[in-house]
Parts: sequence; C-alpha cells; structure tokens
Amino acid sequence: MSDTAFPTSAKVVVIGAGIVGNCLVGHLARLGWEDIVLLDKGPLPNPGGSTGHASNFIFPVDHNKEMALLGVQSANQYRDLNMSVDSGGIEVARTQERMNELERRMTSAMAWGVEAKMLTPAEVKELVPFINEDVIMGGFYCPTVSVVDSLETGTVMRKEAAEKAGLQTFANTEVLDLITEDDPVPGMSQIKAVVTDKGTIETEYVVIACGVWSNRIANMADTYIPLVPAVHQMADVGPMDVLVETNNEIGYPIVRDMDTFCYERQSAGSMEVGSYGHRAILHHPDEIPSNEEAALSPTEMPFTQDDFDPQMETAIELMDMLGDAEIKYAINGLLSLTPDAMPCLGELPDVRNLWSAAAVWVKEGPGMAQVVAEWMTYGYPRVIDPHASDISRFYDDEKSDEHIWARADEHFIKTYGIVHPSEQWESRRGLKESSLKAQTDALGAEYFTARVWERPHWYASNADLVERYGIAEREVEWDNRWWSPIIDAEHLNLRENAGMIDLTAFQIFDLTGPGAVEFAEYLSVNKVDKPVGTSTYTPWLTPDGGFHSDLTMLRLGDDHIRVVTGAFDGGRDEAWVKKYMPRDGSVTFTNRTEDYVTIGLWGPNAPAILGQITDADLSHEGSPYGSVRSVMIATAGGDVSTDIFRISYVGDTGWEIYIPWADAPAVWDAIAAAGADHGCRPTGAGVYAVGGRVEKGYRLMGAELESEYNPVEAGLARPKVKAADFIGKEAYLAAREAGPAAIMCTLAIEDLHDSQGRKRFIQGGNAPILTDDGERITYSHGRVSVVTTAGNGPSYGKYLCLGYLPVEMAEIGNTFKVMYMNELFPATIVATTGSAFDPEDTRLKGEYAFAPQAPPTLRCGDCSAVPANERSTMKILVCVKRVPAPGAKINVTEDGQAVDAAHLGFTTSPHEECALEEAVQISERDGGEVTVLTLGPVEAEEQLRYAASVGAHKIILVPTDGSAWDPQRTATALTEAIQQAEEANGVPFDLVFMGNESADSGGFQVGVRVAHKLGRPIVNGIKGVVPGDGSVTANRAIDGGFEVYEVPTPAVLGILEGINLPRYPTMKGRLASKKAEMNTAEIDAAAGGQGLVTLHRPPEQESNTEILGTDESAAVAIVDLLEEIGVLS
Amino acid sequence: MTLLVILEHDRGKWSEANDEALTAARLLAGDMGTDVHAVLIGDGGLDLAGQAAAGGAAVVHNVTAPMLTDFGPEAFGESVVQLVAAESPAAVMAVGTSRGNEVMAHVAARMDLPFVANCTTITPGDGMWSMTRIQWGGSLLEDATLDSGDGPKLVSFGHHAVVAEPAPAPGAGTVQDFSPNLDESLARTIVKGRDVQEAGVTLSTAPVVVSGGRGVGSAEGFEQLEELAGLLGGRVGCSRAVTNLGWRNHTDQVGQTGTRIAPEIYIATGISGAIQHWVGAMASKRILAINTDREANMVVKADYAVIADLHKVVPAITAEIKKRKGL
Repeated sequence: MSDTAFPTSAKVVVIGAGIVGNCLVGHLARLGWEDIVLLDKGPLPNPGGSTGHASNFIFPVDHNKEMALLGVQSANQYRDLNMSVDSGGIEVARTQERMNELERRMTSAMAWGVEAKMLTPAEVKELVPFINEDVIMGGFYCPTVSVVDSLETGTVMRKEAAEKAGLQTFANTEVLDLITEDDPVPGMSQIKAVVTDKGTIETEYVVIACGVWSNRIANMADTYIPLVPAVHQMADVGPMDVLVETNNEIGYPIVRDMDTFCYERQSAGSMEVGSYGHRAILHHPDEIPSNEEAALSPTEMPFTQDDFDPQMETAIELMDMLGDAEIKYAINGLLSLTPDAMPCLGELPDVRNLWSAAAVWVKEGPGMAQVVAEWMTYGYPRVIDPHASDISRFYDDEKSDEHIWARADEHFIKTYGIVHPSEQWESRRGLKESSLKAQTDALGAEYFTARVWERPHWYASNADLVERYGIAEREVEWDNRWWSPIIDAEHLNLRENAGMIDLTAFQIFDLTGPGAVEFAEYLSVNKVDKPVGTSTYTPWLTPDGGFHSDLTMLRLGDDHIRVVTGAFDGGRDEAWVKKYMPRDGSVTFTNRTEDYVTIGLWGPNAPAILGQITDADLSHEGSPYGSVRSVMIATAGGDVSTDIFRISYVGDTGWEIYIPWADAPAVWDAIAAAGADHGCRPTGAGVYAVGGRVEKGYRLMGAELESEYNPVEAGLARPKVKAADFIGKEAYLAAREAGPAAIMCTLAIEDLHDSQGRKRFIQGGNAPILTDDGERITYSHGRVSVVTTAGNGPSYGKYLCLGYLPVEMAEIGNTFKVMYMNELFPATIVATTGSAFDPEDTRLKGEYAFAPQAPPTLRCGDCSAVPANERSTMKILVCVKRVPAPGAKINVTEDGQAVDAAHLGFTTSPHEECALEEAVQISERDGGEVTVLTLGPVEAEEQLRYAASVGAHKIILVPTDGSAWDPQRTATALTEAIQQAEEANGVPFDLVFMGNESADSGGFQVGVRVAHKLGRPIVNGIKGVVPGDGSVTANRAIDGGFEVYEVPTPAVLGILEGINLPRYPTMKGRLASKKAEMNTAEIDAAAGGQGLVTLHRPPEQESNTEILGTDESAAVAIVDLLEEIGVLS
Repeated sequence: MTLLVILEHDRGKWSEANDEALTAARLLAGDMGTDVHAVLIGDGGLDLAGQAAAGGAAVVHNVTAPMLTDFGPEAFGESVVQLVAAESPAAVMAVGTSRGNEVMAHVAARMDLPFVANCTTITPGDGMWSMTRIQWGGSLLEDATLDSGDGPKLVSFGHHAVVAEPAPAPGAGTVQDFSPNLDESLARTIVKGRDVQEAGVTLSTAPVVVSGGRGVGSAEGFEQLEELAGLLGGRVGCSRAVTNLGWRNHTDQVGQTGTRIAPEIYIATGISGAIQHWVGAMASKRILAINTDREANMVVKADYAVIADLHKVVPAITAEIKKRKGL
C-alpha cells in the first residue's frame, strides 16, 4: 500500500495485482526497471480476481513445451520463495483410452524431466486410501506436483519490487481509460497515459495483467486481447476425518480424475472438488460484478448446482466419503479462456509499449511474468520462446467475441480431455478460404486449419493412389487419427510425377518505399539487397540471436521487397515488421495476403507441365533456383500475369506461383489440365508441411526453429555474415564464434514395433530422444533433446524424426532411443543439418536419376430416501423467503422497485435458514417431518430444493408474479397455504417456524399475522426451542440472557439467527433434493394497505476518516482518543 | 385526535428507547396537529408516568390487568386493541425495538390493519400517509404509503432512527387508568421465567465494543481483543463470518441479524464492513477501524482508522493503556 501522493508519471504501469501482475513487478525490478506503478481496482492482498480463488496446484507435466517448461519453472520460483509444498499428484484412468493417455504423459514427463511413475490401482490406493480402486485402471503419479500460496507469493514479489525498485502500489484504483497517440505507421498507436479514478499517470509502458477484465482494459486503447471469462466450478466439501487427521493443509496427493473432468484436492480438513466437465459457461466481462456488488468476490460467482451434479456423482464413485460430507462453499469461479487455450503475452501488435500478460494460470504465473519482463527488457524473452502464447499470433477474424466464445465453448471441455496433436477445430470453420475453394472442394479436399485459413491436407480424389502405392492404414487408432494413407500416396506421386499444392494460406507482405530494402536488411540475417528478381531465404533473429521468424523475401523492385511467410506465423511476423519499421515514412507496409493465391507445383514433371501453359524460359538459366520472374500463364479465360518463384520446400524441382486472387481458379484449372497427362495430382499440406520436408530436413518455425536455437545449431549459418547491421547480429557473431551446443539431426526409426508387436507412428513433437540406455539427453542451459517433427518419409523408406542433439553426439550412424507412448523405439542419425533423402539435392537441380523406392488418438439431507421417523409424528412447517445475498453495497434497479440482483446470488433469509436447521435437528432427534413453504417468484424453487438438501421432507411453493407482496397480502396467502397443507396432512402442524423478520423488507409482522389467522400463539425472537408434550418451551433472547416461554402447541415461533449453526448440504443431499417433489399452491390474496413507492440508497456520507497512523505506534494516538472520550476509566 | 405512543418498560425499568419514542411522537403529533398520549402496559408502568409526562405526554394511559404481570405479546397486543377501541386515536406508534415491533404487529394482526415498521420519517396526511422506512437493516430506504381506511395508522420508528431530545416543555401527563378485559387464553404467551446469563454490561449496552472479523485468524486470536475490551470495560463483538466459522458465539455477533450496538466507541479490527455488519454498528457514536486495507468499507465509513495489522496494533494499544494506568 502506498502512502505517497498519486503519481502523475511512471516508467511502467502494470494493471492488475493478481499472480501475474505481482510476479511481473518483481521480475521487472530484478531486471533493473524502476519507477514502476501497480494498480488494481480491488483491495489487497486479494483484489477479487481469479488468483483469489485459484486451486493453487501445479501439475507440471504438459504435452505443450511452453506450458510444461513454464510450469516447471514457475513451480521452482514458488519453491524458491518458500511458497510451495510438494503434495504429489495422481492422474487416474478409468478407461483404456485414458491409460494410453497416461503413457503419453509419462513420455512428456520424460521429455521435460519431471519425475513420474505409473501406478497400479492398488498402488494408487496406498497413496490415497480413501479412493475406490475398483473404478480405476491405474494412475500417473508425479511426486513433484505442488501446492502454492499464490496470494502470499504476490505479496512477497510486490515487496521485493518495492524494496529493489521503489514500486508504488495502489489498490482500489480503477483504470478508466488508456490514452494513446497515433503512431506514424498506419493502424498503430502508442500508449501515453493511464487514466484512473485517482488521477492520470503519464507512462512509457503499460502492462495489462488483469485476467478476466483484460480485454475490457485493452478496448480502452482500441485494441483487443482475445479472451473470455469462463466458469470453472469448485466446491469445498467437508470436513472429513481422514483429512483432518493429517493436521496439514495438504497431506494427500491431489487426484485428477480426468475421465470425469474432475480433480480432488485436499484443503486442510476438507476436499476441494473442481470440475471442467460442465457446459462452457461464458460471461461477458461487463457481467462481472464490481468488488462491492459481489457477494464474495467478482470472480466468485453464485454456484449453478445443476451444472455440477454429474461431477458430484462421479466424484462420489471415486471417493465415497465425499457423499456424506457437507458442501460448505461452492462457486462458479471465473478464469480466462482464449480461442486456442494458450495465453496472451507480449506487446499488443497495434499499440506500441502496451503489453499483455493475460489468460495465465497460477501454475505458470511466475514463469510467464518472467517471460513478459524479459521480453520488455531484452526485446524477446530468454527463458523460453513464447511463440504459441504470443498475442500477435491472432488474426483479425480471431479477435471477435463471436470467435472467442465459439472456440472457448469448444475447447473448455477438453481441459481434461485427450487431445490429439493434430486435432482440428469443429467450430468457426471457413473463416478464410481460397478462391480455389470450389475446385478443391470438388476434388474432395480434407481441410485442416492453419489458424484462420482452410488448407487442404489431403484429397479424397487421390484414394486410388493408395492402392497403386500399397499404403496401409496404421494399426493403432490413435496413429490413424487425423491422418490418411492418401498423404503418403500423394507424396510418392509428387516425387514420381508432380503435385499441385494450394498454398493460399501463405502470408504475403510488401515493403515498399525508399527505405524498404535497408529496413529489410535490418530484419534479416541473410543479404536482401540483391538484384531485382532474386530472393533470400532467411531467418529473422531476436536481439539475443535466436530465431524469431523463418521466411523468404523476394526483391520485386528497387524499392520493393515481398515477404512470404507461413500461415501460423503471419501475425507474429507482421507485428515484428511494424515494431521495427522506421517511423519516418520511408517504408510502407502492405498486406497482400488476400491479393494473391499461391499454387505450388513440384515434381519431376513440374517443368514440363508449367512449360505447357507459359512461354517463359523455365530452364535453370531462365528461371534459376531462388529467382522470381513475372510470367504470363495461358488459361481458358485468357493470359494471366503471375510471378513464379523457383524454390522448393518439398525437395523436388518446381515453383511457387503467385497469382492475383480472382484469376487463381483459372490458373489452377490450366495447371490441372496440363498436368493430367503428366500424372499431376492435387497434393495437400500433409505432404507439404510434413512428409516432404522431413525427408529433406527442412526446418519449420515453431518446431525446429525457436528462439532458443541459433542458425549455427539449425544448420542455417552461411559461410559469411553480411556487413550490414541486423537485429541479433552481435549475438549471432558470438554464436558463430562459440560454435553450436547442439546440431539439428534427422533420425530414422529402425523398428516401429511396440512391446505388443504393433507398429507405432510417432505423433506430434516432443518425443524424448534418449540414449540407448534410456537416459535423458540434456545440454547447455538445461535444453533437452526431443523430437521437433516426426513424419513418414515414404520416398526415403523410413519413419523420420527431426531433433537437436548435443554436438558431441550428433554424428551420422549414432544410435538412440525415441520414446513414444512410454515405449522406446530404436533410432539412428541419418543426417545432420543436411537431407536424409537426396542429400545432394539432385531433384532440386532437376536431375532425376532414380525411380521412387518402395514405400518407405443437516448431517443427512437425503430428502426422498429417508422417510419421516417413526418415533414421533411431529410435523413442523418452516416458512422461508428468498432474498438476494449482498456484498458490501446494495444497488437498486432503474425503476426503483427492487434490489438489482444482476450480480447477486440468492439465499434463504438468515433467520429462516436457522429456523430450518432447527426444525431438521428436532426431526432428527425426536422424529417427525419437516415441510418448507415459501411464497415468492418461481425461482424460489432454488431455496426449496436447498431446504430439501439439508433435510426438509416436503416442499411447497406459492408462486407470486415476481413483485414484492405487502405483509398483509403475504400473510393471507401463507395462511391459506398452511391450511391447505394441514388439510392434506389431516393434522395441524405442531410447530410453525417463521423467521423473526426477513433480511430485506424487514416488516416484522408476517409471522404474527399468520399466527393470528391460524388462531395460534406466537412468540418472536426465539433462540431456543424444546418441544414438549402438547407445548413447547421457547427461549427468547434478551440482553444478557433469556426470557422463557411455555406455549401450547400447535404454535408459531419467530426464530432468530444464532439459535444454531446451519449445516451445509451434503453431496447426497443435493442429489436427492433434485428428485424431491415440489407442490405448487396457486394462491392469491388482496393487497394490503402498505404500498411501495420506490427504493433508494441512503445518501452517501463523505468519507472523512482521520488516519491515526499506519503502524503500531498509532496506539498512542488511539489511547489519547480513548482518554478524551472518557472510556479509559 | 390523539396519537398513542406505546412505551416500553421491563417490570418498571424505563427503556431508553422511550426517549426516542417520545421525541418521535412529539414530532409526529406536531405534524398531525394532535396530542401525544403515552401508553404504559403492565405492572410497574405507573411509576414511569412522570417520565412520560416529562417527555411531552399530555395523557398517560396506565394499562393494567391481572394477567399483565410481565410481558406477553398477545396480551399486550390485545390490551392496545381495546384501548384503541376506547380512545379512537388517529394513529398508534412505537419505536421498533424487538418488543415494540412485536406488540404493534399483534395490534395490526388483531385489527387486520396495515402496519408500517421501522420508519425513519413519516409525513402524515388526511387519508394516506407517506413515509420512508428501512430495508436491509438500514442499507436501503423504501418510500412507502400507508392507507388504513377508517382505522388508525399503525407505525413504528426504526430504533436509533430518531435521536432522543428532551421535550421543550413537559406535557400535562394526566394519568388515565385502563383495564382491558383479557381472555385467559392470552396468558399462554406471558413470560414464564427468566434466565439471566450475565449481569452487568452486555454487548448492546457496552460503552466500548472491540470487534474482530475474519482477519483475526482464529478463535484464539480473539484473546487479545478480550484483553483490550476488558481494560476498557467493554465487550467483544464479531462479524457474521466469524460466527459462521465457529470462532465466537452468535451472542457476540454485531450485525443485522445479530446485535445492534451503540457504544461510545466501536473498535473494528480486521472487519471489511459488509452491509450486514455495518447496520449493526452504525449507531455507534464513534468508530475506529483497524485494517490493512485502506479502502475497506469499514475504514471508509469509520471516524478514525489505523492502516496496519491488528495483530500488532491491538497488543500495542493494550500495552499503552497498561502503561498509562500504571499496570
């Protein structure tokens, strides 16, 4: 907390003091930043964001490299701060499919160096004795799963920042606006200031780290952070003896029951049960209540019981003891979801110096905070390459609420799902389609997405090739998923004849203007300033000399460079260009992606095919490798002007042909017609993106190329370094000087058979490469050898993997083991930085000497089950009222007729909750039946079912029209309902319990009126009830004691809170309450003489609190005050 | 035209709420253009007639009957009903203490007339009255209307909503005895006995209340508050969160559904100040909040605050007091 005046300027303002914001300021301080201001609109230490109710555990194993490494790194940061306890964690499997997934987890654990072990059900039970081992098939155990204190961590990091860098923190300070100023680059602006409700801060940098509110803040700067607040349900169940006995916050390992989408985590004496199994419940940020409006906190929203019930049932299956314990606390907790389930980190692509650190979980909080801090300091993070989390990855189509909601809706339930590495999206397809769509549709294209672009992955029309080349389906279903034998067939056909590939998804940017070439030089490692008509294939490096981009640049004119990059990197690359572009107007950026369609044509017959539709010189003199030429192509509709670029990513001769968008279909048809006699087939990205390149060892940005590798290691270093300066030059020169720590190699799998004799085909990246003895291979800076790309090399004849191996091991012929699904497969290095297939690149040169080779996944609240006890036939009726559950403030609807319950949950009025508990206790102790009656809107059924879940036997609703009824009207209707119920029972209720007064309207009279109409005695203010024979002894609370009444029954009593401590429902109770039969009594009554005009809040008083001090020395001033008042006798 | 104001006493002991009642009655009667008639019910009431007169009552109705030896809501209610039948007042009012509202509710039920409870201001009229009343214990206000047809207006003022003031001039205080005819059955809700659990200062009468919220951290954590309260001759209170956690008894709970306090000073430690709690504390003459959160509701509303950890400040206050007292 700061005592200083509100600052008017700062170097960096961080918005949001959750785990990310707090760790971020700590990391910035460590990196030497000063003049840092941290703001949050909520109070500290818990401002009410997702951190405040997080489950706080870290399961470090993830299939995704970024998430896994940052998870481990974050867990270690928590450990370093002493904010962590290793509880261990077990993922249990109920199905064989999950068991397979656990083997996959073991493999990822090996990749990232996390200790892990597979357990039998009996072994699981040894660690978690209260588990029902009959429903599980096994478990995946990680002893280093940890539980952390994210709130305290935040406090400590803030403190560190305050001590090191003079961090100023202002809680309860709301950001109202972000001020930006236009940047010379069109479409861009620059952050200038933050406007808060305490004043405006001019600042150089701003970081948005406010979780679910991040997009709302981003909107203030006219930009967008694609995330949506979503619900994750959690319930606290307990206490349970076996947990209490551990005398520990957490004594048992955390259990993830992913087949049922649940986790169970001990929390002192209780069990926190969390669920990711319900429908995705998404909220608009504007629906999130403020700190004052919220009953608990803004991100702890009222629990929706129906969504949790299926999870409760399955949780009880796994842990029977959960069924009888009380549900003390349950919320719909809010967290952030993004369209692709990866976080949003980095500089906003359209607002300079405005940074995002959003959609981050507690388990990666410290690590991702470090990522952003390093990014801000060094120009790119050092700890890891965050390319999958980079906020600039999104295309415009992904930045809409519609898109985020649809995708979040789709992937939420996959949080604990089994997701195949190649799994495709179902929702929001067809966002960007080529002008070739009609043709590719007609050819039976199977489309995969490349971010927003639809890209044919293989073509059903090539099914005949499968037989021709004798390609088999894969044995194990998982390996067959999102794959087709057609891919291998298309591959072989391309290498034998030719393939034409729809590459419309290429991202094309033009850099023009007098400064374009110089700027392009500055971005690139390799020389760009070459003759017009030539091209440069080059990486773009980070300031530390690692890969940021890998693309081609075509010199189309003296002042015209065309950048061509892949669909997955278009966003990041565009952002990089705009970040570094000169601001003096000498360079203009134009996105030409939708101006051109790229068709690739490669194979031995490619020159012949193209030669039929163009007169241009296609020889190696006329169209040398790396050249780009403007040529006319003859189509049915006339000649079309195109650019042909002789390059190949598949390792066979041919071109990328750039065609104006509208003309592309005609050119496609022309190529297809010309190719018909040459065996040319449409060929998908299955070949282009994997098969072709894996045989050639061609690297892919995001797989082989990441910021942790440099061109020397990737085998992309050229003999000389250009004289011109470029980003990362110094680091690159040092790397060349130092030599590589690792080399990129191609490994061939020698034997595909697993321990069950089935052929396996390694899917996805990150399969660990181990020594022959099965040991992990790590080298400098804790890097580890894993497979970066795996795919079949049909022409080569073996299944191939690319991966980095330490220099001393990287020799052709060396043998290793590659782990896949927890089994080891022997592999041999067949190439280092060169190509396994056609290592002399004869095909690229157009020399075709050989034919293609053979082809190389209430204590007992059970309503209906427990009949009324036989010991006594006492009947008790409890009248309850449904009231809002408010927080620190009450708001009124616009028409002034009711409390604005938009952000509030509802509850039973407090006195009545106790009355109900009392009735249930009596019925349990002495026998009898409890009926609960409410007069209210139809939603009041919620209160009746709650009553049933804590022990009520019968429930009755008298529905109103939703408006508030005056006391006379209410009493008349209630009386009639009671009489109806008594008639049905055949006897009067021995006791009727009313609340002393309702929490909201507080009229203090309904109970009395009802009693009088029933002709029965009533006493209010009751805090003790002892039923007798024909009478009841009732204690009424008075100051300092009790008045004792003895009232003949049937009687009515007005009960006060404090008579008991109401129980929480048990899970069984909740489930049973859903089946309870509710009677509805349609009763109305005439309005009484009290009328509502309007509701309003009392006038706000000016706060003029006198602060006597900020530490214990204020005691002196306090005692002075006490003396002054005269209480210091 | 008369305004009947029901005064409260515990077997002859004047309730301080009566001062508020008479103040409110004088104002209301003034607006109505009527006299104030005080009503004292049951044994011991007569001794208080003089105080009622001092408070401005023109007439004091001394309501007695054999059954009225002690409080009984039905008997009291019926007595008032019969008095109303005899006197035909334009209105009957009380202060909304527990008993006050209860008796008025019985009157209303028996006469089947509307009753508007816990008003802060009342504007009488010829036919319909308008008023502002309390909802949510005082966190919300309701503007309402009261139409009683031919019957008297039945209202109560919120306890502590009206500040007691001495009457500018005493009333005549003419005592009129009234003996209602009470059916035996009404005795069923007469107090049978009392169970005095503690003598002396209670939470609602303590001059100093030291409260703890969730920030205290545990039941044991309240020991330091007990010590401080003891030194100041006060009582320990707590928030509803604390009661629900089982750290303190409900009898210590300050709040809308707990006890309303009105001490000379209320020291609230580690309490955020949700509205539920605030309404129980707001009648305190002074409030000192001790909290690490400067923006907590309690701090914002308090007269004084110390922004620091209560676990450090409370022992420091205790030490300072002991020092000055030479303990």
